[in-house]
Amino acid sequence: MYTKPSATALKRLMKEYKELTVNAPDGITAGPISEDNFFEWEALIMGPDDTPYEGGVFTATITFPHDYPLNPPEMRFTCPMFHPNVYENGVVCISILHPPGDDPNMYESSSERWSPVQSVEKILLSVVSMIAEPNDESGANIDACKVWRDNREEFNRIVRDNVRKTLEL
Amino acid sequence: MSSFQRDPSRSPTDLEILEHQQSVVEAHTSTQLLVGPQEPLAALAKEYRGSESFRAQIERLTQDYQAIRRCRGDGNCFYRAFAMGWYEAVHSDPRRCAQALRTLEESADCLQQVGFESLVFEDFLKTATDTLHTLQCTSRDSPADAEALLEQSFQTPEVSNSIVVYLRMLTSAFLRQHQDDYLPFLEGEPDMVRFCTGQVEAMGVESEEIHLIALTRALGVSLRVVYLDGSPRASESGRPVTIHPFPNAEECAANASSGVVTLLYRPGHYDLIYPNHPTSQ
Repeated sequence: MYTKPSATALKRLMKEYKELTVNAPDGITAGPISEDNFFEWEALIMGPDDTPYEGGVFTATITFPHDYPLNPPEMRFTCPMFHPNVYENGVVCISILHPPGDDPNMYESSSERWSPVQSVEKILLSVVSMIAEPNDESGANIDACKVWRDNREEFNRIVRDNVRKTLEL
Repeated sequence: MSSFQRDPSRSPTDLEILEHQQSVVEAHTSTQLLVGPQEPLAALAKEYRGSESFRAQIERLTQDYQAIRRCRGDGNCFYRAFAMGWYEAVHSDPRRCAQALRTLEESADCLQQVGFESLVFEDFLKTATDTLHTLQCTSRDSPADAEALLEQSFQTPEVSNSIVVYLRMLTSAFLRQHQDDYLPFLEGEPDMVRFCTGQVEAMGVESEEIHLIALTRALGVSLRVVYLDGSPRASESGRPVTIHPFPNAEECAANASSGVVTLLYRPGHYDLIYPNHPTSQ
């Protein structure tokens, strides 16, 4: 829609950042990597309790399009993340990060798509739920899907290994 | 055009057809203004030289209408045309304008009631009210300047699209708030929230009658839609062109004193159309 960064997008991102610093959901921090560029954020997500991800701190970048919030940002984990809904390159694949009309059959019908009434906070909350409850119907990492379905113990072991790696960094 | 070479001996795949359609639509729409200048109805007649039934309908339209204003066919044409028509109908009349501004500001309650956070809509709402407020002030000193400013505002993507986004959010909020009334009219879609996310809030998704009814009811604005469909019946001599009032005949008449918006509908697209005597409607 817009080709260059819009003032609307910038203003909205600044507001969302301010709101997140005041009222961050539990286990999540997020904000611009540099105050010079509000279109590139870093997020830290604590692994949810009672999951193999518990105890881990997972880093991700969030890249916003210049016409945000008309289109959704892209989120990419920058640490090892073995998960059915995260591609091997770290890109997160969940319905809220996809505009409506994109891949109509890939997600459950009830799942929520991106629209301008969503926000970074809603995305991060969805990602935390995704970590806790993988959806192997719309898998992004086929290996992870397979191990998660067929050998839960092995899946938990790989994830816990990754958790240790993220903490060593 | 696409970068891949297609084997001419096989039919194109769905993906290839889709990519081709996309490239044609993009090439066409990106060169068209978001909203054009007013043009005489004769300009419309030129498009339909070969079609007798369309020409007869346009001929009939010239008795009551003098001009059209084209809007870009980018899926947002209904909201954009409606918003511009509404601002055009109120900005020079202090009473109507004050009422329209109040309506816009109060409409935020509807969004809040269905759980939209202010941070997701307040900037878009502010652009919508600021634009109308500036028009009102300009109109007081120079109506001609106000006309130019109106056109310029709706041609500026950031302003124009912000107003479209707000009207989409309001339409969505209104449908969510009154879902018991509207759910029965959604064909094959049992979930209002999903309908709103996918078919209302998303930019570039075209509007159907239910969107028109919800938005005009949410704002209390009279809308008349003139149908130009080239149907052979319409070309029988003297048969009037079909005009649909929104949200319905009764409410359209009751709301008329605060300004009437008239749109021209051709299958799949809305433009603005201007009556000969705007005040007598």
